[in-house]
Amino acid sequence: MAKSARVLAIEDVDRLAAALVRFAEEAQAALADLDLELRRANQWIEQDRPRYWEAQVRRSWEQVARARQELEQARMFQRTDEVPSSCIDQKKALQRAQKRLDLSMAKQQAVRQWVYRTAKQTEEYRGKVGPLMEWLSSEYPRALAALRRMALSLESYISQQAPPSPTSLLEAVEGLASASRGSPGEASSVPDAPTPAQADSQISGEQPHATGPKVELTPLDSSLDSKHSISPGSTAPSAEAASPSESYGTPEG
Amino acid sequence: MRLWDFRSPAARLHEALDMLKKTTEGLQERWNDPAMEFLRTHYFTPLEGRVREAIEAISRLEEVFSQAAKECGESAHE
Repeated sequence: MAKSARVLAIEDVDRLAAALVRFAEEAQAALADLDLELRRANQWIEQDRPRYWEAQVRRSWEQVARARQELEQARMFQRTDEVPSSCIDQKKALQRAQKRLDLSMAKQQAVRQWVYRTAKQTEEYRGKVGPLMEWLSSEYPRALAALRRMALSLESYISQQAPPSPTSLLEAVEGLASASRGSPGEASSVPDAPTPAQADSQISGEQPHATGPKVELTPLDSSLDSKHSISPGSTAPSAEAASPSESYGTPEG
Repeated sequence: MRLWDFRSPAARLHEALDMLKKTTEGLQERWNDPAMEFLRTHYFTPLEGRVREAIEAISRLEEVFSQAAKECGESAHE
């Protein structure tokens, strides 16, 4: 039964088209967000960090110099009867300043390496996400146009109560796909290849079928000739199609 | 405060694919013909592969940039 089930509900085609539009909108928004985040991340690594650690190195040198000077002064003014360990505070300050300088210089070096690594990773990411972006810009409008064409064929059939045309829905879909793939220049010839927002509005209420006849999901008139049992995928009536209750039956589930 | 967020857009992408898959799988129960097969073969299956590839790339991006943030920030060597 599942294999012989045929889609004859325009609602099903519309539901799939709406899901496709929703996916495309979400995916495009997600990719735009990623692009923004990636720009922010790269800016932090490539601009913010080098500036920050450069300033820290400069400041650390100044602190080291100041600490040395203070130690020298402490030694000069040290009274001869004092024990040598009396400069301990100045020595500790110098050690802290030297440690901070070492850290800042190490960070500077690390930033230089990470600038290279993150740039490489960004490039790799762009290469990996490219096919999805390409799908969204070229395959998605084609898929949507194919679904709209299917819906129109179904509407035509329902409104006429006769075979819509010798072309099956599959042929309509395949024909549309192959025509639109003819050459890169022909890609724009896909009828009404919409933006997600346009497509959404078309699906949500502006399609011709919205006011036209709807496919009833109940068995059609049993007097319907089997040759009218055109399923989306067959030009000739199949064995299953000969049985209206199966071909046009209420969708299971 | 996070300097950047790759996880949220990745989750959004993942969720978008899941929603689309749920719809197609739900419809397949009653819509299983050559037209659907054509759509699946030419559009949906390749799409799934591309989304998964993108999500994996985002995941690697997250790993590398997190490590970079740790090593280029103030606290890593302290």
